[in-house]
Amino acid sequence: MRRKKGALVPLEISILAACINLALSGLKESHGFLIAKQIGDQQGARMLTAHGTLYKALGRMAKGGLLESRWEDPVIAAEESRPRRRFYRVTAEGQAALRAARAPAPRSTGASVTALV
Amino acid sequence: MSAWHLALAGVFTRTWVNAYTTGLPRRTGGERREEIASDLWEQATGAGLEGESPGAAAAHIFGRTVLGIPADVAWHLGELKGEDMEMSIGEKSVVGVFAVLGIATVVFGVLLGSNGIVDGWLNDSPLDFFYGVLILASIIGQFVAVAGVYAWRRADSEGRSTKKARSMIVAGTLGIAVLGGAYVVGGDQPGHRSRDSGLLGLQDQPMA
Repeated sequence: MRRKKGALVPLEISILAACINLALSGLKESHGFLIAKQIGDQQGARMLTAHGTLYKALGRMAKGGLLESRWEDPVIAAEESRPRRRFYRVTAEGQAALRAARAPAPRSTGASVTALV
Repeated sequence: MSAWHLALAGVFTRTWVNAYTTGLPRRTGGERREEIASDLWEQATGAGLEGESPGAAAAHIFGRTVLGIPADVAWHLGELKGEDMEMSIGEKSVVGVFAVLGIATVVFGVLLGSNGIVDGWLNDSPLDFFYGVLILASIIGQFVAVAGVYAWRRADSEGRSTKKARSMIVAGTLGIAVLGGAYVVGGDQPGHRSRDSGLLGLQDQPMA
């Protein structure tokens, strides 16, 4: 099944919104688990997004230019004795795509997105 | 990950990630494994354990892994073809059903086989012990067959001989068929009690 080019699926909208909300709360970059947690909190879901679903979408969005990603410095991760994180942040293209997807939505979301541009 | 539940869920998830990243370019597979390892760590430590017992957190991790299997399979195929693949709901359902059946078969087989071995050992019953070993061996056969499929695809994509991989598939499949068949047929033979006891929860009855 192929989806319409340029159209965001609900999960992509949730990911963009989660990243933007996290950015508004001071976290300019977020890793996958944090994004899943934020989506869960936004939707009041007890179960977080499945690994496969989440990382497939994040990879697709990064390839599509909606998100940009970078790997954490391995030294920092080693100092904290944990695996290194991959951080994501919403690009200007991602913000525009979210705005377009939510065009008929209430102004508050649009204002949040605009604040980051 | 201190609790054994979490460790077990972590092993399950990492095993699955290792399986579906096999045959992909090293960098692509390595990055996915690292990303999942990080996710597991985050969920198993402070952030994920807010109000969740280790058992519940482990079930949560297990659920996230199993529910993501159709997407993992689609991602793997997409990476091989170099394009993004989306599965229809029907395709996702088929992959999901096979995944659940596969996991259930392995879990049930390991429990049944272990039970047969322990029963045979404790009750001094060589037959129960023997059939327990057969069941575990057939589970290993499943792994060999699946590993053979991956090895085949990898060798094929790299232009190497697939003979070894094909041997693995044949050996694994024969192992499942012969060993599983021996258990089923042997279990109906007079004097064999293992199918009427232990894990199945039925009373030991002398066979007619």
